[in-house]
This record gives sequence, C-alpha cells and structure tokens, in this order.
Amino acid sequence: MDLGKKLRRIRIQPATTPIPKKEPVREPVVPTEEPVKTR
Amino acid sequence: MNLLSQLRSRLRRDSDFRSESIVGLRGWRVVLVECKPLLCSLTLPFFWMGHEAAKFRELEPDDIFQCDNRGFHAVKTIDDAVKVFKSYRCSMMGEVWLWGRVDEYEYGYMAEFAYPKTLWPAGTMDPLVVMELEEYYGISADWKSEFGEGSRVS
Repeated sequence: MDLGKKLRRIRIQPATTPIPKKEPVREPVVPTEEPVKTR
Repeated sequence: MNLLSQLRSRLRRDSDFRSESIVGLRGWRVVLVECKPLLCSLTLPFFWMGHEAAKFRELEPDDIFQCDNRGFHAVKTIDDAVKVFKSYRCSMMGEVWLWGRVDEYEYGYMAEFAYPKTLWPAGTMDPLVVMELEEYYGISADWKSEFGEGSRVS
C-alpha cells in the first residue's frame, strides 16, 4: 500500500478513549414467585 | 532557556501534539476463529480484538512475515479506500480511530494504536456475520454502495 511521501509525525494522546465500553453482562432473571402446583 | 523548555520546543518543532484521535479508512479480511468472526489485517496475520486497542509491535528479526510495516495503515479518502478494497479483495472496509505515534503521509497514515470506528461490509458479506462483528467490536456497520450494497437486514 503506497501512502506517498511522509509529511509529518503527530503524537496523539486522546482525552477520552475511542474504544467503546463493554455492555454489562445481564444476569439471568430468576423467577421469585412460587411455581403453580398442578395435580 | 533551560534544558526542559529547549526539549519542549524541539519536540514541538519535530511533531504535532493532539488530544483528538484521527479517523482514517482501511480494509480487513474477516476470518473465522473457532467459529467466531474476527477482523484480520490484510498483509499480516494480526487479529483485531474487541474492546482492545490494536497495538503496533515491531517485527522480530526472525519473523516469518517480513514486510514494510511501521504501524497500522489507513488511507484518507474514499477513492483510495475503494482502490484498497479492489486490490486486496477486502471483505470489510471501514473507518478506524488512530492515535499514539501517527505518521502522516500524502495519502494516509501509519499509527501506533488503532480501533475500528465504523464497518462498511463488502456486498458479499453475510449480514449475520456483520451483526456478530457489530456486537463483538461494539460499533455499527453500514452498507455502502462503493463496496457493494449487500443484503440489508431490517
């Protein structure tokens, strides 16, 4: 990949990271009600 | 002028300092690793991980993948991105964040750190694989006509 002539060097220290935050893992919902007993 | 200010002025002369990442355009191959699609660099077997900055590493002298590599490549314009897409037969194009030590060239950049910003899949890409990549990297994909429209999922 020819990028042509080098122009300059830039040093970049981003104030905020460009990497997206991970979505929090959702805990499985545990049913709180007693299951209906069937005969 | 003391030594510290001399050094600072020399550094300012030699390079620019910024606090905002640069956005470039680049291509990837999409490779299945243990049934999971990952972005892979075009000329090196380097896999881009989700939620981790891709960090440039110097090649070892005995590295079998010898090539002219001085950082993560990206181009500046969509026309050059189309050229990359065609010549490397990319399965994925997109925008990429670049930071750290970034060398600017006439037509692009070579950066120390990188992370994908937006994905532009090739028209031949499976929409389900694209959705997996979106989720894994935490970014969105958009089908662009320059790389083939592809199948849209609504």
